[in-house]
Amino acid sequence: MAHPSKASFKNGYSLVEDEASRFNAQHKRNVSFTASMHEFQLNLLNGIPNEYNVSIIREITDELYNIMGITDDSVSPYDGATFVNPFIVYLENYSLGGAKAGMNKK
Amino acid sequence: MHYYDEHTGNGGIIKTAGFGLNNLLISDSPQMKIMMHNMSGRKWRLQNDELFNGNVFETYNNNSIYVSKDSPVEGGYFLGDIYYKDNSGRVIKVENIKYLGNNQYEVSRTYVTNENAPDLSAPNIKPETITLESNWDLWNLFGAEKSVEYDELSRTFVQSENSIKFVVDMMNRVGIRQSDNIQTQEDVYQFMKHSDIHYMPVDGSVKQGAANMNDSKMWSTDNPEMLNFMKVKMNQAGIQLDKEHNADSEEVSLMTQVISACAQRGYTLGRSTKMYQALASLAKVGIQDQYEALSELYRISNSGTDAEYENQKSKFQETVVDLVFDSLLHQSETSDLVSKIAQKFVQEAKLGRKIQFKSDPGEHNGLDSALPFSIDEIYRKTYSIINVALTRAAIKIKLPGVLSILCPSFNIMKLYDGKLYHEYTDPDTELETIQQQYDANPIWQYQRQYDYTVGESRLGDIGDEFASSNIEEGIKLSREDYDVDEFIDYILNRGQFADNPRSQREFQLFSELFE
Repeated sequence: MAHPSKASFKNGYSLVEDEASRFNAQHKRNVSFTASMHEFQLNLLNGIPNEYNVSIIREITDELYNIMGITDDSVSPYDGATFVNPFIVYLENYSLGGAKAGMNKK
Repeated sequence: MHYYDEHTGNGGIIKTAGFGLNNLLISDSPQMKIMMHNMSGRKWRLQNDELFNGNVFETYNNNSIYVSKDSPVEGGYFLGDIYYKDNSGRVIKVENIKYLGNNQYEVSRTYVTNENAPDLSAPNIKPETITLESNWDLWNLFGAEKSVEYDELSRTFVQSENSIKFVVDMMNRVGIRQSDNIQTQEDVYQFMKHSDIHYMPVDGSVKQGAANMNDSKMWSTDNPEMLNFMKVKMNQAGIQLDKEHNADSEEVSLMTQVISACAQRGYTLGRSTKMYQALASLAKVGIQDQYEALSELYRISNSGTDAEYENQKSKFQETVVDLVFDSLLHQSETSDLVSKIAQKFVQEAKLGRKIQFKSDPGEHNGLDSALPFSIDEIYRKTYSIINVALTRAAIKIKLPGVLSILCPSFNIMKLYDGKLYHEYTDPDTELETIQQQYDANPIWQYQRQYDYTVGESRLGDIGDEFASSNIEEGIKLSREDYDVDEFIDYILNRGQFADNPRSQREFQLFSELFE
């Protein structure tokens, strides 16, 4: 139940709808458990530290319109991106061994 | 990335795409330099959170780290040649770094020529005393975003990521010993790896378990010690197998999902219909050869002579054969029979023979080679191939160019009028001039040209003018049912578009979508 609820509650608050929404939101992301993923090898002398300092920053948003007159009142340009410390980029590639990637990673 | 905190019971998921900062990016965005400072400017700390005080140019094996081959240290580790450009574009080499105590270092530098020889005409640079307390300080010592390296091939200095790589190298070699036998990170505390902010995700990527969120003003606040952060264990983190995307590829693939996405974003039926029309126009371009041949065939079959029909029919057949042949060549999955026929065609084509349409395999008529459509398997496969080929050519048409999306950035990322930031000699002044030019002709004018509705007060100047002129001619217009072609012609032939070839071209391209 730790996941934020995204239920709309059009007919007023409903515990069942709330629980279902949270369940759905949480479990749809369990795909990352089964997705093919290369984990970082930890504890290497030339690898990443075992703990990261993660500094979450509020997305910037603004209104937007195009020449057709179509508007959107909250466009978020970075949409789920993470900026990565440049030194960590290299250490991560060392920790990925043969699976090393470029500068940008998913 | 999945994480869990045993103390609080709080867990979290971050699903994101990580974009690494690098020297090139930072050199073209002053805001990225602020972000770099915020991430790497936190002071080095020991395990007990006390500030580090000591010589970082010494490995955990007590060997010196030196930077010039001209003055090597016995048993020491050579980090590499450190070059960077100063603000006037002259190349500077770091010759020596000497520890003075209390995090202070004396740095000797010299100018070198573009051919990597000592620049005897340049003035001597006095040794400078600097303080090193963070990775940011170290990165700056190595030249920061102005780092260059000597390219032996072109015999000149080129842009480099060396200032980052040198810091990484030192991160791995410097630390406080925890054990006599050093094999893993547990045996040495590599303090340079622990002080920085490692990831800076925007809130949207943290699906669950966000803690210590920073306000959006931290995008432009230059103060590394002000950032809130949380510690995350990295034992459940990694990258996807498909690990890299390039957002700046040179073609854009048009997908039907785009339409679905538009519908989900609340596009009205009218707008979606226009998008379908635009797609149909693009599809027509993709299959133009086949489309024109078929149109001509139909036209002649209804009104032309028999001879014209036969002539056009054979042309159409040749077009289809070309299409099928091309598809066979590029098919990855074919049945044995089709595969063999395809191989035969390839051999024939290599010999320079022409491949032609043939309906009856029994009649060869002296042709070089023939595609026997009457064989059942070929017939079915052929239609399948045509179908797939047309779909690929039309629906998944690839267009040269990039997909540009308007989005707000609050100066974090900027466009510099076709140049990169570092390519300007005096970026602040030159960009100010360019900005004034753009301000004189703001982009909202484009929006106003469309944003007209007869009978409402929001009429844009051009829209107003256009609507008025049409009212005089008895045409009633509203925003929903205007004649696109007519309006585009009108705009192209007046005022700023008539005087500006680039705008005219852009608008022309845009209008072609709606032909």
